[in-house]
Amino acid sequence: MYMHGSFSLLSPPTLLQAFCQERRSVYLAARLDRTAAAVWIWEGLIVAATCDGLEGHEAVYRLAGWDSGLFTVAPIYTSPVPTMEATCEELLLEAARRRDEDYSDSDDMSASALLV
Amino acid sequence: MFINWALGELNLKIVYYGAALSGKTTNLQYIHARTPANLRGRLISLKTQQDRTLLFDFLQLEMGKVNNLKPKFKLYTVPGQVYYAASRRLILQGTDGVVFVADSQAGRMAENQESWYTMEQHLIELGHDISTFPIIVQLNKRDLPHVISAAELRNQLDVQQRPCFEASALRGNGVFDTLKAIMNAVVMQVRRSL
Repeated sequence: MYMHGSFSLLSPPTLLQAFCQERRSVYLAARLDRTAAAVWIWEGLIVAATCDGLEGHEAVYRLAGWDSGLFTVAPIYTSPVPTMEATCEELLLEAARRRDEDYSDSDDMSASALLV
Repeated sequence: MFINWALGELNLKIVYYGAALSGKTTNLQYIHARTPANLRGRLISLKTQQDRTLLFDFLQLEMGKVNNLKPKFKLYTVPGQVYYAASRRLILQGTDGVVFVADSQAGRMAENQESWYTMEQHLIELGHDISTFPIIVQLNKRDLPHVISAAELRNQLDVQQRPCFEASALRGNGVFDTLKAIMNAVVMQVRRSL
């Protein structure tokens, strides 16, 4: 039982929030060009993540900014070894805050391009 | 609104919106501190410049079920500074109602008006009909000197017929009146749409 899709149709924040709100236990694997990402959600909490060589919170912040790429989601039935424990909202709001502050330090980027 | 079928819950989202330092955070801290611990979630706090973004959820048992679903409210604040546009937009996505927290001090009108304008713009961009979307206005900091009159504040913000509550969030005055008003407005809107 798998779910496949494209982030151009369903953004990473929307996808992660849906699984977390339903308190699902799933493994999300994603790819954008040559970059890979993975997120483990256990009973609605994000318990491990990797993205482009990053791990934990930083990996989720990076993945949240992808506006394209492909993903596969599969259920998991045993708890993965947790390397972090955070609510999805906490992570996504922090990702948005960082993008806003990065933008405020930059002179040549469009604010609208950063909106999620 | 998010229907959590597995848990039989209707998750409703209320956002406290307003200029930086208008008192949004104080409202949420007051509500969280006075909500029974067994009915509320953890208060999550994210630090932004000048402000903090807060959120927590709680079950509202007194309100009764909506289509056999237990209403669970999630309260958020937005960071008030102008450049947190992406954060505000993320927080406003899927929101069911907004409390606009206005700072009553005479010197804060420009910030209030700017914030009101951006709130309307975000809601319109998200596809809401501003004329029917639940928005409650809280005229905060009424206990401070040099505040402008409630009538003048309403007029300057062009709030029209929207419900307004005078408050001092620091002292707790008007905090729960505002919250009850927005919860009722949101549930009425949901019932109309079902």
